[in-house]
Amino acid sequence: MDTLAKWINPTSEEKSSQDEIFDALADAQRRRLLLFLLYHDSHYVSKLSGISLEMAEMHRTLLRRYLSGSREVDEADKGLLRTHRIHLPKLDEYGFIDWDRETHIVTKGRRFDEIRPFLEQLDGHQNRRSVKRPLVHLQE
Amino acid sequence: MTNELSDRNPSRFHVGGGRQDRLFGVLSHPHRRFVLDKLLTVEMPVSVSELSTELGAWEASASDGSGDRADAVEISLVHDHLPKMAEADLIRWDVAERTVTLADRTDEVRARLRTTNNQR
Repeated sequence: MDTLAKWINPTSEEKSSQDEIFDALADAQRRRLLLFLLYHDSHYVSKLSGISLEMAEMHRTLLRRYLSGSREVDEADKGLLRTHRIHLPKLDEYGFIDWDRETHIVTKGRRFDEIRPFLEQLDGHQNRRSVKRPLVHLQE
Repeated sequence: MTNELSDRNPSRFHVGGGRQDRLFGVLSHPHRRFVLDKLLTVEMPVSVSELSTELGAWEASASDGSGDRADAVEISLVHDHLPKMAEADLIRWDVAERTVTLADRTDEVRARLRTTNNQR
């Protein structure tokens, strides 16, 4: 009998906590940020500027449609917009990160330890073939 | 630990792409985790109606009794959860026979669910 059996009767609280862990991990950009925080105390998130900043203020439905679609807008940083409007709010709400909207600095949240084993597992799987540790590759 | 305050992007981490997104997306719903766990345990095709009945009973016992009934559970399985799981290559769904079987990503699924388990 597999040890998975004891996993099968979680309380509803445990259930939704598991839902949030897996939902947080269901996007590559969120996994990257969380993995980064596994090795660093904080991360500075670039500010929105120019066209991206203007787009961030547009109608919520329109913005959501743009961010989930494949259409691109010249000079807009879609990745950064998604970070500001989708990923950071979600991870902050779940408590896996603390997002200081004034200083633009992201740190580990009160529930980071819940997601830590998954990040360590992910890191082992994905970065096993990296040349050497630490497995942090920063882009200039 | 370093104090990372620069404007660098953690973009060089290898975190997998859409395939990982879909695996975690599937795992983010308790009914889908239930189905995967069941399929991992029996290792043979299971009928959709059997899954629905067990899932309905599980909901009723695990929650405060206000869980979904089996037919409501079956509707969401057929129209929402099973298509998502098949699309992520986690199950093989035989629509004609009305059965599902675990597909080829068994080890990955087992590893993720075990992490959930150990954590508790």
